[in-house]
Order: sequence, then structure tokens, then C-alpha cells
Amino acid sequence: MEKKVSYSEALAEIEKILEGFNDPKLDIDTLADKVKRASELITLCKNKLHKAEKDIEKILEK
Amino acid sequence: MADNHSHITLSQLQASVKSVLAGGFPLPVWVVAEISELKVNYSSGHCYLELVEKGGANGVPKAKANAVIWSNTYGMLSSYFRGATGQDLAVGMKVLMSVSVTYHELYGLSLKVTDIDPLYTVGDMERQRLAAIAKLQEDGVFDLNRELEMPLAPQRIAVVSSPGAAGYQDFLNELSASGYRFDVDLFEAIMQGHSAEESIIDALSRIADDMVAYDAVVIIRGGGSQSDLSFLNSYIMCFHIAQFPIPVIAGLGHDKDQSVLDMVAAVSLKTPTAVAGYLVQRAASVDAELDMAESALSHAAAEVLAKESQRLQGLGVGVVKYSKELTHRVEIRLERLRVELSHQRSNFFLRQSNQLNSMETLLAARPMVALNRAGLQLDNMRSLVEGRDPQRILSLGFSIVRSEGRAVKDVSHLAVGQDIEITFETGTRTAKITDNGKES
Repeated sequence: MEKKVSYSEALAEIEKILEGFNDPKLDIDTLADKVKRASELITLCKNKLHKAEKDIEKILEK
Repeated sequence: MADNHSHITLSQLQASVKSVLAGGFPLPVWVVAEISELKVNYSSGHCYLELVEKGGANGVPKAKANAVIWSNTYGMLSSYFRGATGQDLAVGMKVLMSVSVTYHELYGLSLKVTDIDPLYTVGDMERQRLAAIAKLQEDGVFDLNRELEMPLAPQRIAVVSSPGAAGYQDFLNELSASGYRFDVDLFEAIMQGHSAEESIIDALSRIADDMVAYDAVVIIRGGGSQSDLSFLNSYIMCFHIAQFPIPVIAGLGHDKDQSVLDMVAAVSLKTPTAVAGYLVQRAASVDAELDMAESALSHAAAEVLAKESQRLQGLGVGVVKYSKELTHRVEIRLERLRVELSHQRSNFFLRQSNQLNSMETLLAARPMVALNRAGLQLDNMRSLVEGRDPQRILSLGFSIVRSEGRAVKDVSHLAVGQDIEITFETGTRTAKITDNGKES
């Protein structure tokens, strides 16, 4: 289920997941899934950031 | 039938009258009269006149007579007369002549002119001239035409003249030779003799019908015959000319003293050619003025252009300098912005990177914390659960007392001699109650 997530949407989701870990009513069953999801999102964001950086460098060098 | 009266024949009567007259007027008589008719027979050379004395009632003359100047006399007298007066004998003139009274059986009374005193005519003409001037001045019109403003360069001309006259042709030739444009309209008139007066007045009234079309009126007559120019002093004609609303220029081609027409006309010149010359000269001076104005305008314009050209050049230089400065400043600003952008970009990515890194760190840390917390919670729960384990309680030395299979909590439920079961950590034994706790 890979839907295109924007950078800001991804960030928001990561923050939500992190907040969720502080909640005492944490759902242990989904914990592992949540960690996986958050990890994937962070990787996604890092990639996007990197690509943007490269693109802008290219533009400014012209 | 007898004669009633004694009679003679007609010829006898005529002869008789003739001799009486001859006897009565043996010598010529000087007489003054006005010429009412004049005819020269060109083949014979004789001049036949009718003389009158005006002044009768109802315009009827007081006296009238036929006169004749025989050709040999006429040739002499007319040139003598012309020499003295500058004019030929003409109708309307008052003359002083020496006449012989002659009587002819067939033709009746006739006066034979033998001599003439031109000074009388001159005097009379002069008298008429002075009288006309005086009357015009008295009427207040003498100066009127001369006081009109002559247009700077009259170009639309009404000419009063006779078309066949050399003067008119000369006038036209002079105008067309000038190269300037003139619009000339001829108003024909008779320019000599006793009908000239009326003819000229008529021509003027025809011009007056279309007054706005003309800048000036020109009255000209050719040289040639000097005969009968007495109309030039005509009071009634000059009365009209003096009051004419357009300036009148006269070129009458006579070498006498100024006639009254010359005096009342706005401008008086000797000949038609001189009049043409006058008009041409006025056109030429306007032409020259226009040329000067054109030249001055051209110079002024050139000056203005030169000044403006200089000013623009100066501005041009200023513009170039200013725009270079401006460009330079903008370039500096752009460079600064570029550098700033570069920094901002780095900062931004750095910040984002840091954020992601912190998230990663949290991601690494927080789940474990949560798990630990959950673990602790479970441990707590186990403790609590274990705490409640009955075996644990027995191990502490406590025992469970049952009666009839059920645990006993209340001591009062126990009677003396009752069977109970006691469960210890290591087994169960039965017992009996021996007392009820009361002090005996």
C-alpha cells in the first residue's frame, strides 16, 4: 500500500507516532508496525530532502 | 385779283437781311458761349459747332447759334487751343471766340469763327476745377478716399478703363511681367469726352455691387489723345470717387497739373504703367518681408534645435552614466541575495536534516522506553498477582481454616467441639475447637 506521501504529511505522521509512544494506553500489538512505519517515513523524508538539495544546487550552478 | 400787300421775294428778303447784318456787324465780335455740339468733317476738315448760352428757365438755353470753323482756320486754331489748354475743343467747354456774323440765304445765321482766346477756357476750366474742389471740401468728402487704409499688397483689382486703350494693355502687361499674382476685373467705361463722367460713375456703381471682392480700384486711361479731359475735374464724378469705400488709384496719363480726380483719389500716379508699378512694388515689399520673416524663423528654429540637441546629448550622457551605476548597484545586490540564498538553503537543509535526525533518535529511543514501561507495568501486575497467591500467604506462616469445606473468616461462627481443617504450607490436618475464647 504505497501511496505518495508529501514531505510535510510524512513529518506529521512521524510526530504523531512518536507522540503515541508516550501514551500509557499504548497498543503493544501494533508497536512493532508503528516503529516500522515511522522508520520508513523517516527514510522517505531523508531521500526527498537529499533530492531537493541536489536539484537546487544544479539550478544555482547554471 | 390785285395784290393786297406790297411784297418781295424770299430771296430778296434774305439778301436784305444779309446786307443789314453785314452792315451791322462789319467786324468780328468776341463772344463767350458754351459748345453744345461739335462735329469735324474729316474729309473737308471743317468744324461745325452749335453754341449755346445756358441759363434759361426750365433748362432751356437762353440763346443758341450755329458756328463753323473753316478747315484752314480750324487746323490753326485747334492746335493753338490745344497748346494752351492741353485739350482739344470739345463739347461742354466755355469758349471765348472771335466770330463774324454771316447770313446765308439758304442756311440762315451762322457765326464764322476766326479766332479764339484759350485763356478764357483755361480760366473757366480752372474756375470749374476750383469750384469743384471747394464744394467737395464743403461736403466733407474731399479727403475720404485718401483716408482709407490701403491694403498692404492689393491683389484683387477693379479697373475702370476702356478695353481698347493702350493704357489698359500696358497696365496688364506690367502686372503679368512682375510674376506676382493679380486678379484683375475690367469695368468698361468711356474715358474721354462728355459721356466719360456718367460712364465712370456707372462703372463705380457696378464695382460697388461686388465690393468685398476687391482690394483697390484703378482708374486709368492711355496717353494718346489729350482731348477733352475736362471730366477729370467733374464735381459729381469726384463726389462719387471721394466717397468710394475702396481705395482708388488713378493713373490718368495726362501731363497737366493735378486734376480734381487726382486730388480725391487715394493714390495718384502719372500713368497706367506707374500704377502697375506701384501695385507690383507693394507686392514685392510684402514678399521681401515674408522672406525676412522666413529667414528669421528658420534661424530661430535652427537655434532652438541646436540647443535642444545639445541638451539631449547631455541628458544622454547622464542617462548612460546613471544606468551604469544603477546596473552596478543591482548587480551587487543580486550577488548578495545569491549568497544569502545559498546560506539560507544550506541552513534550511541543515535544519530539516537535524529534525529528521532527532526524529530518528527518538524513534530509536522512544519505543524501547515504551516497551520498558510496559514491561514494568507487567512486573507490577505480576507482583500484585503473586501477592494474592494463597501459597505465598501459607509460606509466610499463615494457614487457612476451613469448616465444612468453606474458609472461616469469622471466629464467632466456631462452636466448641466443632471439626475444622487447617491447611498449612506443607499440608492439611484436622482439628477440634476446644474453647470459644471467652474467659471462664
